[in-house]
Amino acid sequence: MTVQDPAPSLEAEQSGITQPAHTPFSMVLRRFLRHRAAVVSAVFLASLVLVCVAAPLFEAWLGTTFADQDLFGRYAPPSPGHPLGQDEIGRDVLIRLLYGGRVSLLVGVAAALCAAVIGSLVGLLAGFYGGRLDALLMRFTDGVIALPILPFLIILSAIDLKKLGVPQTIALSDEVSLYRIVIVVSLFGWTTVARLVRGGALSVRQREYVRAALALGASNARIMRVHVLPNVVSPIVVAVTLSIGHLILVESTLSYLGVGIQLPLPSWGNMLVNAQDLIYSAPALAIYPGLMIFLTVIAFNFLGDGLQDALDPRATSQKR
Amino acid sequence: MQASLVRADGLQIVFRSGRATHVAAQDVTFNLAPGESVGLVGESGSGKSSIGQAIAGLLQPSAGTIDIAPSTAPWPTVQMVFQDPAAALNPRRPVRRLLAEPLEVLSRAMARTVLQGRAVDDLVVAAARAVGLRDEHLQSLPHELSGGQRQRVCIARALLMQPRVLILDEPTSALDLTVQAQILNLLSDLRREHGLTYLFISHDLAVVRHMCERVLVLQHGRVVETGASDQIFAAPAQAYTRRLTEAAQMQPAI
Repeated sequence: MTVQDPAPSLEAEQSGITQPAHTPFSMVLRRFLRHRAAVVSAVFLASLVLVCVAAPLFEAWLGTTFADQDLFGRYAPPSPGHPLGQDEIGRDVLIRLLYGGRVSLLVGVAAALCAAVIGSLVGLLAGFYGGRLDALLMRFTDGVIALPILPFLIILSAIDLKKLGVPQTIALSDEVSLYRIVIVVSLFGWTTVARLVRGGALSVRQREYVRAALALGASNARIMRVHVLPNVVSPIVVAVTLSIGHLILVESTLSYLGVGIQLPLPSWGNMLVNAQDLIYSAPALAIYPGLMIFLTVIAFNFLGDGLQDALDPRATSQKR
Repeated sequence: MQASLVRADGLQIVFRSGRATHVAAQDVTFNLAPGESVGLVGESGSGKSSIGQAIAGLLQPSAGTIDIAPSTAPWPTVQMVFQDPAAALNPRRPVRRLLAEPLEVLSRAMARTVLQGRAVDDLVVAAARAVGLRDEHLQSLPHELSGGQRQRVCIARALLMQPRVLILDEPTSALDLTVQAQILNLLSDLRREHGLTYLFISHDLAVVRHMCERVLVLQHGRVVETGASDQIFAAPAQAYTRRLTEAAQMQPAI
């Protein structure tokens, strides 16, 4: 976050110079640590990521994979070999949850980042240049916001990639539903960031340090990169964190509707679909992925709140 | 008369917001001769800053012309120092990076022929020392410096562009009295060393008298009085100027 100089050559010669005790980063960290729900959420999410990344290790340990079926073990209760039991075709629930977590987190984070890049670009151009370009881009943004997203996403998800000229090997691979959903979701998710960045850029471009840079003859691209973007990055970080939770929900919804992540790749959303017919006979199969979605989304929201308070303490004091 | 370095002729600056218009400057004509220091005084809202920004190229005048004597340098040679140094420095960049910026812009203007890595560092250190900053200040972020130190950074940044003209827009108004004196002395020294031309914008006639040979008095965007600063201070012709000088005498002169 903080823009600390990445140590050019001269710093080495002048060792012995002490860093100031109250760097902006340490202040942000201290404020963040005061926010207990956010700290708990950060720890939870970090462990979740760690465990999901380590999913292949669990596979090796349990001697099964996320796709391995065992028709003699349908609906088996938890056992040492299957800590959370087995599903309707005898797959290990824990491992599917972990792989589902990988997919859901990956989709959430990747889509949020893509959306942030698009949104930052649009917002930066609109806010910095203002005038007609601003009006044009913001009306376009309003248009995207006003679109009924779900039907649109369903249509986009149903596009046959082969007919678009995408090579068969890619269009028919298992992961294509993953890429597709990241792209589709980020195409609609950038509007929040665009508006935030535009607002920030509008106010930053009036600051005297921007005028000073103009007087130096710095190019607009340089001013946007060096002076405007770093000073609007806090709201971007908060918006991205909050939107990850939202995008995980969108992914679940799309997967639930059958246009998201396609089997055999598990995601929390499509695990819920499989479980819906069995909600009375095997409620656990619905509860596990549902609970994971719930906890993860809520953790990202707490984390976003905590970051907001840490990065922009003035907003907090206004709230209370 | 000496050849002028900057000549503003019939300058008019009008701000429009919706249907309302505000005339910040009207028919302002003046010269800056090389090496001269000219004061631009007036109450707040008299259009001083707008004129300064127009000369620095930050504002497009609605009418009139600004002629700057051609220079061999392919970069802007009119630089500006702002009133509030805390606002004029990007809060996220350490001083070293802030001072490297003019050099990065320059080396771009000169097609990256001259200034690379090591040379930039040396020039930055030299520029910081020349305005009385210590080397450890280069690591600091603007908010870790005092107001006076911040203004020194702004001055160093402007000087690194090797300007011919400095527009000083109330450069000491945001500073403590003792610090004001230090910065004013620094500016005087730098002018002598580098043969700079100053357009010194202030509401404080006492400061202007100390810094400038010549004064333009501005009221509601028009020049109402002009002359040598000693003369204007001693025998103001206009009632408005007299009010300004009286106001200046209320506070300890520097």
